Amino acid sequence: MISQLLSILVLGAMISAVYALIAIGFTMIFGVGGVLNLAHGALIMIGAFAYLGLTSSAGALSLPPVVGFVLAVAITAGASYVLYAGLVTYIEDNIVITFLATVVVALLLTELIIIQFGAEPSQLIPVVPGSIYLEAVGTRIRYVELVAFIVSWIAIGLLWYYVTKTDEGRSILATSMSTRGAELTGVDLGTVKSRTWLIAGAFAGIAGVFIGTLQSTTPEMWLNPLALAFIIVVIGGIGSIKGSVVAAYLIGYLETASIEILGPSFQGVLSLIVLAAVLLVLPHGLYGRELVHE
Amino acid sequence: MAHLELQDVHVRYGKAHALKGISLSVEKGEIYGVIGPNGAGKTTMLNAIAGFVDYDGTVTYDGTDLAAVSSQQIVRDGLVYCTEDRDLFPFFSVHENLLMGAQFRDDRDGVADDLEMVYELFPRLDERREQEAETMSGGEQQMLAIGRALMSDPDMLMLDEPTIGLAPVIIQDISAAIERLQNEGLTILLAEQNSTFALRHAERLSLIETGEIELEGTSDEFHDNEYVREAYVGVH
Repeated sequence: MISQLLSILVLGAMISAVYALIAIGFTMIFGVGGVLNLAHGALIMIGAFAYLGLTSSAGALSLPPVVGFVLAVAITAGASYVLYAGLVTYIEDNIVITFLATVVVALLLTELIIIQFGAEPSQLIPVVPGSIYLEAVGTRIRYVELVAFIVSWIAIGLLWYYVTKTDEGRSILATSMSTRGAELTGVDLGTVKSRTWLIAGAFAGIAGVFIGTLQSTTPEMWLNPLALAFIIVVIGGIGSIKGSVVAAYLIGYLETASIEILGPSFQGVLSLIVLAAVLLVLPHGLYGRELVHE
Repeated sequence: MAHLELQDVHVRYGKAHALKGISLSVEKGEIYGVIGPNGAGKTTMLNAIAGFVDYDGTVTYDGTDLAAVSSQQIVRDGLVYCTEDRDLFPFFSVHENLLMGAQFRDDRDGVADDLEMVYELFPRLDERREQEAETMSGGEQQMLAIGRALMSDPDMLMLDEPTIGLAPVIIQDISAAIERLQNEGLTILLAEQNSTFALRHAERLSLIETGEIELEGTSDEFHDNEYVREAYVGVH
């Protein structure tokens, strides 16, 4: 029993950190522009498949995993920026059109992935191979899980520093609180949005490589992270980075516990029950702020 | 050359003709008052100058036609706007709000000096550096809005209804701050329904009603004007 709890504690901490990356990117994009980016999951998929294409031993490049990881993150950040600058920026004032357009992008990317890589699940080479048996916990963890945890927290820490200690980063948070306030203080909204999409894309790229490695790499893999992003962001409070991290841990632990105790098929059930409860009791989420995005 | 000049500025919202040809000029270092009832077009005029609404006619600032200048650049060029809604960053502290006012500035020493100046100008803000803007009183929020605007190192400040909804004792604090800023050479364009307040500070004024300037003159002329006294100043 104790070892099961410890195991949930350790495994949950790893995956939750990756979930936090997914949710932070999603909520930041909503915060600064009011855009619900339904292609956010597709960006995560791009991260996984870019990594596959760059590192696969069957591919032409077969780059070292660490190099492939860095490039995959850069590619995803670039794709996110192109999605904003090439499409969303022209339609973002119309919520419904933006909503539909990002779905179309997600579906289009799915088709392109199938053409390029096929519909069958692909196996990613772990960024760091191997695993270790944690005697005290009584569970085996893969090094890649540990790396996912560390890299995710470094990314979150850097973002936190950026948005609280630098003018550039603070302008992103400020814009999410009041667009007019940002304009009154000379913030260039286009620059802020571009930076936000780049950051969200980089985070999606990191998450994509690790989700692809730890869970699955398929042309449908974007759906689950997108649903997770929604659930986490609503529970944490739309627009709140802190709320995203806390709710990501809540959901990550719920999922891990469901799998450990009830079995894999129960993975998402508890999360949805919690989501329903939060919507009923705390419609603004844990760190929800009524005013976010006017 | 006037510091700020409006020539025949029109604003239309759909069929509504909100500004019907406003022309006025503000000289460097003066406080120019715009009074008039709610809905007369005062805010629309300021929004047009700041680049927030489309208009016909011309607005020039230090000789530059603002039509082609983005609202962000207008702020960076020293024409800074305090809106009636204040538009603070509600979940930022007082200090963070002030830092945002200076976010585009590279002169670290100047920013540090201005922070000190704002905290000295409004000691209430100094006492509440870490408090979230959202949790402050209306008067404190108004001080913060003015303070944030000052952090942008303005040459000219546009204030929209800075006394609205505030207690007399707070209005005195705002008054004192405005006097001091004027003594330091700041130009202020002040839109106010509170005509008494506007007349106390402005050297020249315009009265706007239904989108048109009905009267223009010095504060003495406004004081002596029967219509202004009866309709706007009341008995004091």
